[in-house]
Amino acid sequence: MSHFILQTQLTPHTLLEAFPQLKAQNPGFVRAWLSPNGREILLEVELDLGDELRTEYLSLQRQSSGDLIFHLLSGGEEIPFKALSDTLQRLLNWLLSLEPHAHVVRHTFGQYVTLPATSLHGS
Amino acid sequence: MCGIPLVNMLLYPRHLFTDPEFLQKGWPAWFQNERPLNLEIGCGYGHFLSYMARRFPEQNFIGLDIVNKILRQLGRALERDGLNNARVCKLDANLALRELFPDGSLANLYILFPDPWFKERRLKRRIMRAETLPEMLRVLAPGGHLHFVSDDADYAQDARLLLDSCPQLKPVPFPEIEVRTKYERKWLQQEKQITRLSYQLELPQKPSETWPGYAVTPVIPLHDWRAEQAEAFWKQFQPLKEISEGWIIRVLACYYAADEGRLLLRCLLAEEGALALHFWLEVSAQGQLELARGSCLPRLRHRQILLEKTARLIESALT
Repeated sequence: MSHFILQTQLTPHTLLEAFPQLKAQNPGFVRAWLSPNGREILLEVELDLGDELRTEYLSLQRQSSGDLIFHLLSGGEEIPFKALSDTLQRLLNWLLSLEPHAHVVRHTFGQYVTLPATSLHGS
Repeated sequence: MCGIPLVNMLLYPRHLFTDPEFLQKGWPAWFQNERPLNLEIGCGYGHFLSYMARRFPEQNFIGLDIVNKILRQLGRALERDGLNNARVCKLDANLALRELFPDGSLANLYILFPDPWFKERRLKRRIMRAETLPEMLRVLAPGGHLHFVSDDADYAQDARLLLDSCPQLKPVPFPEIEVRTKYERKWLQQEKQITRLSYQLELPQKPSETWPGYAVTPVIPLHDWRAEQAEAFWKQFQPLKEISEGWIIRVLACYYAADEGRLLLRCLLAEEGALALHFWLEVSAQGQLELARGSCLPRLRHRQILLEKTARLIESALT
């Protein structure tokens, strides 16, 4: 499962409040959904795969440790990382713009996302 | 023209189960013609499929498999070789047979070196067994052929007994096919005995089912729904489960978009003899249940029933 873990004070509620800003700047982000316990926000995105537009759901879940873990909730069909990279980069940039001191402590995106040098503590 | 370019030879369930043209016309929508249709279950690297598509350009060929890596490789090879009369699909065979092929739609059905599932408790996973044969017979055209090849003596014997005992099938000589698949070459090197069986559908089938025009995506109203129930349902959400004959629907998670008053449900369908799959449903503020945008529930004949069952499941949680 592709994921990254962000050490941050951001919560799904704060992300929900800030979502209109992300949507305004990046029309590919369509809607935001909140889980009943408020610990998970689901971002509905429209991916441009070249010959088609595809809807996927990106989950950001607050862990008991305080970290925010991101993963893609795919319907089981493989998505090429290259097609995701732009969306992931925008998402990460948005998160870091909300909290510049947030740290990516782990990720599995390899070369597809550019992380600020100060952000990445390990992968 | 379907939703993806004709040159794209690899089809995923979303291409088939959500494409309006396919849903209206069936397979001719992909091939842009009504030529005889042939299906290979478990096409693997596609040596056989490519060979047949090249040898019989006046026919269409579909290969099914579930392994992404080899399907991508095969899709690229078909595209590179310009074999426009072939497509490969990432689909479970039982699901595809049941949902995607009308009665009498196949000229040939090929099952070459299927997994024999040696262990007793896994025999029910075999593709060729008494429970799956009726669907194979249903999709074969009158006079159509069913071909089965195996290197496993027990599986071959079981298949022979099953097919010989079927009154609608008549054994015929296995067709002359020069190509050897990867596994076939391997088994031949190991001097394994290979059993090749061919049968012809002898009794006339009932007239072909008209392609039922599955283009309607059902929207199921939830009874006695009030807008404020969405938030209450979401806040009190507990996973739901519905067990029916042969399948289980689970509503695993619930999300809410407060600004629109809409619910998003993450669901799982587990069905006997098919791979479990996730899909998404939405409930509008007006209480209309439907597939979420872009979500694919790869069921056609049973889509309406599944959504109705899920609607009743949600209603039962509301009371």
